[in-house]
Amino acid sequence: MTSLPSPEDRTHPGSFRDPSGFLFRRDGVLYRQVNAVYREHFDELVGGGLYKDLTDAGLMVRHEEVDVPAAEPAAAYRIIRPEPVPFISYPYEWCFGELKDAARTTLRIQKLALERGLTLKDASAYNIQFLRGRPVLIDTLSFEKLRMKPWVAYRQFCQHFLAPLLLMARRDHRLGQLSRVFLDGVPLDLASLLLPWSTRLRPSIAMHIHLHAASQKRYASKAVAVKERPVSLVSLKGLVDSLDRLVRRTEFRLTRTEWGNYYKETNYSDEAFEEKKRIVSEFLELAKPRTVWDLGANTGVFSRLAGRRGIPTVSFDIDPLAVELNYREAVKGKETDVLPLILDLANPSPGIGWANAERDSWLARGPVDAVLALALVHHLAISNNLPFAMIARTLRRICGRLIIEFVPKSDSQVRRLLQTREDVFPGYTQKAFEDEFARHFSIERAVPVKGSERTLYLMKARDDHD
Amino acid sequence: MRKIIRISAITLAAAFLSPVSAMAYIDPGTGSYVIQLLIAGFVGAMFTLRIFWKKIVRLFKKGGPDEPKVDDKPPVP
Repeated sequence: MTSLPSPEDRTHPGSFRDPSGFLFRRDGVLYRQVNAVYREHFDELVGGGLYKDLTDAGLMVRHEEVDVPAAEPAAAYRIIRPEPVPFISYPYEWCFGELKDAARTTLRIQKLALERGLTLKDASAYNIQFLRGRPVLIDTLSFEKLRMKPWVAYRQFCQHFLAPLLLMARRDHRLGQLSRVFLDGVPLDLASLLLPWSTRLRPSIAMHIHLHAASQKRYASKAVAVKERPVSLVSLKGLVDSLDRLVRRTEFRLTRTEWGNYYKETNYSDEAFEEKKRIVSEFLELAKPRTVWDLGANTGVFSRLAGRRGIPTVSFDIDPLAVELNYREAVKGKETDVLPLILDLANPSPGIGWANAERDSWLARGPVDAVLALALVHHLAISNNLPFAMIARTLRRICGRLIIEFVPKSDSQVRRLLQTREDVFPGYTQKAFEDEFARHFSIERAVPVKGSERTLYLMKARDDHD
Repeated sequence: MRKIIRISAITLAAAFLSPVSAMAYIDPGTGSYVIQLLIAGFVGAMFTLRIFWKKIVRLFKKGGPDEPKVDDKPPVP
């Protein structure tokens, strides 16, 4: 019998599926308990050299074995303290490039594991996180000793990575959002149904998606005695190689979307744009935040002002293409402090999984030191009919400092938003904006951007807000 | 070579091309297991052939055999 975790420990609500161990938090520090049932696999991972291979290659988070009391002493073998990940993101928030790199990282890990006589028993996309700009495996307990059997995580890899990547590349990039609905990845029969018929003529897609789905269907409803046939190491390596070749060749076709060329089309003159950058930099110097969320970041020009100061910055945008471009820029520049993610602010990621607690909602992953909300308010207030009061209240919930831009009705971007709709926003004035935000923040600076009609504000959250 | 692979894959696929319906409440593990047994020989053979082919290419390119590397490109630069 295992004893219950002591009340001061908080077991992570998303860490209950694997009997090998679990995460828990004590005094604000995240630990992972390795259970005795997992002992031989854990010893092989650490003692057999794979842990060193993977951490040296930057493919897995490092951990420290620590001498602290276990959360469940009766089951415990070791307690480890993994390197913390500053911001946990989820596959439905990743752009195509991020999901593809996460997939290739998983396959590289499996390849190295096979060389060391181990294999991944999970290939969940949730086990990958972005740390210093690169995808890494965060679940140290994902390995088991290799037995010459089919790869147990093959189905999961296809559902979590391959199916959404192919759907995004070959049908519609918005299908990446299916991962938000299906916690264990996109069902392969659904992927098979949605992919263009021509994909059946591509041997690797036919094999890993269509035949795979058909095989699942064929054996799903009957109890069959599957012959224990060994699978050779060459076949296991061949499977990884086949998947990797397919993933590598799957490309995201860039098309122009609503905001893709935003910076080229904006009414900002080059001079005003530089001025805006200068003011935002100045505000960042004044506020000195340790973490930043840039909301409506587009391709991340302003996120980089924070990121390049060494401030971990999450760069959110609704447009998958903008996020894709942002990510490519981050990869190209080997940036370590900008994490581009897809987020619809009007409908942000909810808490999902068991008890809505396995994967945190967007709000639950806050608060953050500072929020950048540049060229954003008019989209929320006019495109989404959100009153200033609601915008201000929510921003107050998630940040201590706010760098926000007000865009007046006379601005050409706002005029464009109002072109095809009735102007039912008599309250959309700078005065109303300031009054409403002043209920939740104290306005520290208000600087008009020369060469435009816009104003940038630096605000500080008020403790006595309504 | 590509053509042969393509034709054999299409033939294999034809056996399964009945429309697929959802039975999401049942664990699809068995089917994933069986398909791997089916394709194991094929992916293993392709892998071996590719290593062999790369060895030959390297032999001609550099004038000497090297460690065979199937894919040495990291996922993230």
